[in-house]
This record gives sequence, structure tokens and C-alpha cells, in this order.
Amino acid sequence: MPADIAESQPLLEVIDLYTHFDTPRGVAHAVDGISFTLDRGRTLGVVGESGSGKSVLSRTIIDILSHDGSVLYRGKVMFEGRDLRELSQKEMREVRGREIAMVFQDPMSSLNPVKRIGKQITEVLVKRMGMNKASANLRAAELIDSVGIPDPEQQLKRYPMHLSGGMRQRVAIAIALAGEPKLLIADEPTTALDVTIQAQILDLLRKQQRERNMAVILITHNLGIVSGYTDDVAVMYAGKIVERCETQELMNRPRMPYTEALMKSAPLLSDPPHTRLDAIPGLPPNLLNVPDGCRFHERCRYATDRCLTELPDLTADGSSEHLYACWNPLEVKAEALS
Amino acid sequence: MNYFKAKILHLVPVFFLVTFASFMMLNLLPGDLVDAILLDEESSVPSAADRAALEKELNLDKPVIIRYFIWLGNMFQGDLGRSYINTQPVTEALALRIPVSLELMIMAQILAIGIAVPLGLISGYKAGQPIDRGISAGAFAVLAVPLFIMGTVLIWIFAIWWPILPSSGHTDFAKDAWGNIQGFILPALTIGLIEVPVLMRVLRTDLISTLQEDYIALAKSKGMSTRYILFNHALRPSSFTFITILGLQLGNLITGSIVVETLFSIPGVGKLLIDAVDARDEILVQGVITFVALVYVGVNLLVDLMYAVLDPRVAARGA
Repeated sequence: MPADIAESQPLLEVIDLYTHFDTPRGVAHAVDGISFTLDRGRTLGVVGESGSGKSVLSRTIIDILSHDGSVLYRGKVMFEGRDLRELSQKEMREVRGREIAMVFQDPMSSLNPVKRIGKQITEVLVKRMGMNKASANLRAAELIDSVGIPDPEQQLKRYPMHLSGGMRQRVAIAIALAGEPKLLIADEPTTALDVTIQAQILDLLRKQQRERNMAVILITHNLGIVSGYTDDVAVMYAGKIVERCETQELMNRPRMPYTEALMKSAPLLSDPPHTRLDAIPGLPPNLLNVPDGCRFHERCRYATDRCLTELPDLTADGSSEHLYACWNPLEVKAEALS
Repeated sequence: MNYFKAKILHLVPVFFLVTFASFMMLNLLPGDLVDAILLDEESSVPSAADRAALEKELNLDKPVIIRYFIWLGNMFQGDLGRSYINTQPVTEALALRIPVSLELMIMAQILAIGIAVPLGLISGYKAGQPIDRGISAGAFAVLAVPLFIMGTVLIWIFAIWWPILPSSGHTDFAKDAWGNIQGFILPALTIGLIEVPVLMRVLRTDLISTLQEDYIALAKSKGMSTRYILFNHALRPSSFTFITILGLQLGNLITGSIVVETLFSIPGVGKLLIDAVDARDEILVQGVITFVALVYVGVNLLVDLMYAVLDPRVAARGA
């Protein structure tokens, strides 16, 4: 295709994607009709509670879930104009690591405990990038250096157990960067780390992204991270995106009551000590048995009769790019009250 | 290094306990050794003087506990005594038989691992699917077969129905290497096949849990092939129970080799033990048991050391 079309085309376009798990207790609707686009070099934040389907979404995009028939897929994952879901397993393997790479939540468990750090990086370089062992070792040391770990040559010979959590996550990032991917999926990359390390890891991710013009999907449950490190944001609830827009827009004008509730449930530094958190009442719905109507209605303080029966579409107000799925969006309510 | 020292220290009392217990139990056997030897040599009833002389020669006039310590002291100098029957040094008898049994055991283990690892990996990777159910059903069937039946069936298949392998006998390796290996295939396969079901099942179980690990998902997300992930990422962390069982089964292997060496007429340590028991050659029996205990203890040490090789965290954690 002509270069200008390739440039204007989004890097990733997810169209009406479904991932359902066929379990003995019924079908779990983990990802239930999700669409979004992501341009080169941009960062999309995907935010939601545990069990909202964020991780399943990321694992569906990079296609590492089971293909033994227990997971049902539908929809398209267009990556540079190709539908990844149409690719054979062999073709998809060419995409993983090289085009799309992933950083997992817990660096304590995502590195193989019985393989040296060096080997875990060089196997990507040797098997996927076609390097020989010697140049792969040099490149691995460069990568280790670029993620801010001192004494790179020595680190290559060490095992994950010799490194702290933050260091391990840096190694995991180095592994992901080894294949020079165009898209990096970071699935809660800082959740398992302590707070001072979190900012370092996120800053590292941002630095690498800018240097490589890489797109990033940053999955998190932390709106503070979203506001600091993403360009766009998608809020997920019970397998669906319920609000999607630019990050600044979301922070300034959330429309979906769930987004507002998430914001209110986060502690603020300005709160006096022992302030009760404004937690969202109840639990996210069981994905085996999602409620009729809006999936958030049971926990929504603005719910009306219509919310109980009709599922709102993800739509925009007029011409704006701020999409939300709600019958009673927030600003409208604010105007009505005033 | 402390890990290894501690492991070695653990095994010292085991060795003493085994040799002591076997010595005492042999001593408890009914019948009189002196009578047995003298009656064998002369047809007439032995005189009291002959009896006393032989008793003195064999130290049988001393209490059993003293005899144990005499034997132990000699053992540490590499002297396991002489056969009561033909006065061949026990160490010499063992030295002739050990290479044969060792070859049998090594071949049996290679076959067992060679069959169990691929089956366990396929079974664990395809857990719950028809191929896994088929393999498991086959494994349970084999598990139910006793060693001597397995050996007989293999002889029937590969020596009679489709005669490609010898059913018995032993060829010297130096004279005919291929003939020697051929002779070992069926007996080794007999022992190996008996081991496969348990080995394969434990590998399958451990693999299923390893495949749930994040580092397997990470390996997939790096674009590694399934075969590479199974062999290079999942096999090592999944093989702890496998290695343990492999060590434990060595006990079965030794007893198994007694049956198999008899069945296939292989002049190994197992056959030596059976013949010694038949002849009431107590000192030879004691020597074989000591050797077997040494092997057992050594293999267990090796298994412990293997843990540290399989997972560097074991050695770091210490004993």
C-alpha cells in the first residue's frame, strides 16, 4: 500500500472484539464487544477494576490465550491493516515479540526463575531477530543498560532471584524491547511494585516509547497513572468500554458515572488523615451472568428504570470524540440540577 | 556449598543403618552356616574339631555385634570378605557383575526418560484432550502389569513373533558391542516401561501447573514456538517430582533387575544376589546389599544435587 495511507492508517484497530470463556459454570463474557483505535507513538490507558476484562483484552490482542476451544473469539484485531485474528498460529508467532510485545504485572513471576537473565533476552534476539550468539549478547547488554540497570554484562549471567522487583520489571521491559515492537502492551506493570519504584518504571516506559515511536497500551486500575502517562483512555467495566476519550478530557469532564465513582474512590494527598474512601458500593458483576441493561446500574447512584433494561451504546455527544455509554451522563445531570 | 555438605551428612547414617540391619537380619536366618559349608565339602558328618576350626576362621565364635564391626573395619579398607562357598573375594565377584548391571540400569533409565518425557509433555500440554486421555489410559494399563509379565510379553513380541532381538544371554561388550547392546534392549525396555507411567504422570501434573505461570505467558508473548516453550521454559521447572521419582524408583530398579536379570539370564548384580541367597553365601549377600545401599545413597545424593542444578534458587536457599 502507498506510504501515505500506511501513515494515516491507525497502528491498531480493534473492531467489535469478543472473548468469551466456555467454563463448566457457563460462558464468561470477559471481553464483550470492544472497539478502539490506537495510532503510532500514542499511549492508550485502559482502566477498570479487577475482573473488568482488561487483561483478557490485552491477551486477546497478542493472542496468548488458549486455542483448544475453551475460549471463543469474535471480531477483528487490525494491526497495520492485517486482521491478526485471521492469521495462522505460525504467522501470529511472527507478530508476537516483533510487532507486539508485552510486559506483565508481576515481575516476580513473569521471568523464568531457572533461566539466566541474559538467556531470556537473547532468545528473542537469536530466535526472532536472527542474530548470532555473540552479537545477541552485546545487544542484550545494551538493552539492560538502556533500561537503567548498572553493570549490564554482569547482570546477564544472573538469575531473576538475584534482582529486586523493580530491577526485574526493568529486565521484563528490556525483554519486551528486544524485538523492537511497534506496540507494547503493559499489563499493570507497576501494580506489584512499591510506590517509589512505580514512577521510575513508568518514566522508563515513556522514555523508551518516545525514543522508539512505539505505541503503548497501558493497563491499570490507577487513574493517577492514566492521567500522568497516557494520551487517550478507555474505561472498562464488565467486559465493555463504557467511556473513551482523550485523557485530559476524561480527567476534566467525566461523563460516565462509573468513571466519576472511580475518581472519587481514589485517595487524595490533600485529604486529611483517616478520611473514609468513597468506595464504589457492591462488586463488579459476575462475568458468567451479566445483568440486563447497563452493566453498572446496580452500583450507580444515577440509575433510572431505563438503565435496568436497555444497554446504552458507546456514543458521542454531537461531533465530539468523547464517547460514553450512559443514559444519564454526568454533565447533563449537572445542568438539570442547576 | 553448605547445601551439599548437609545433604552428604544426611546420608551417612542411612548407609550405616542399612549395613547394620542387613547384617543382623542375615544373622537371624535359621540354619547353621558352618554345617552348610562342611556338609557341602564332605559327605560325612563334620567333626567337632573341624567345626570349631571353621568357626574360628570365619569369626563365628565371636558375638554378632563384634563381627559387624570387624566386617565394617575391613569394608573401609576395601575388603568385603571372601565367599564362603568358593573363597572368591566378594569385591572381585562384584567387580565382574557391576558393569553388567550398570549398563542395564543406565539403558533402562535412558529408555524410561526417553519415553516418559515426550509423553508427559504432550499429555500435559494437551491436558483433557483425546490424546492425553489415550496416553493416560495406556499408562494405567502398563502400570498394572508386573515386571515378569512385561518381560515375557516383550520376549514374545520381539524375540518370537517378530524375532529381531535375542531373548536371553549376554555378550561381552569388548567382543561384540552391537550384540551386547542388542542383548540389553529387551531387559532394559522391560524395566524402563514399568517406570514410564509414574514418571509420565508426575511430569504431566507438574507441567500443567507450570504452564499456568506468567513466565510461560511471557515466553509466548515473545513469539517462542510451542515446542521451544515446552522443552526450554517449562520442562526444567516441571521436573522436580520427576527427578525425585526417578531416584526413588532406583530402589525398584535394583529389585527389578533381580527379576529381569534372572528372566533374561543376564550375569549382573541381581543374579549374583539371587545365586548367593540360594547358596546361603551370607558374606556375599552382605556384600551385594552393601553395594546396593551405596548405590541407593549415591543416587539420592545425586537427586538432591540435581535440584540445585534444575533450580538455582535451591542452592541459594541452603539446606
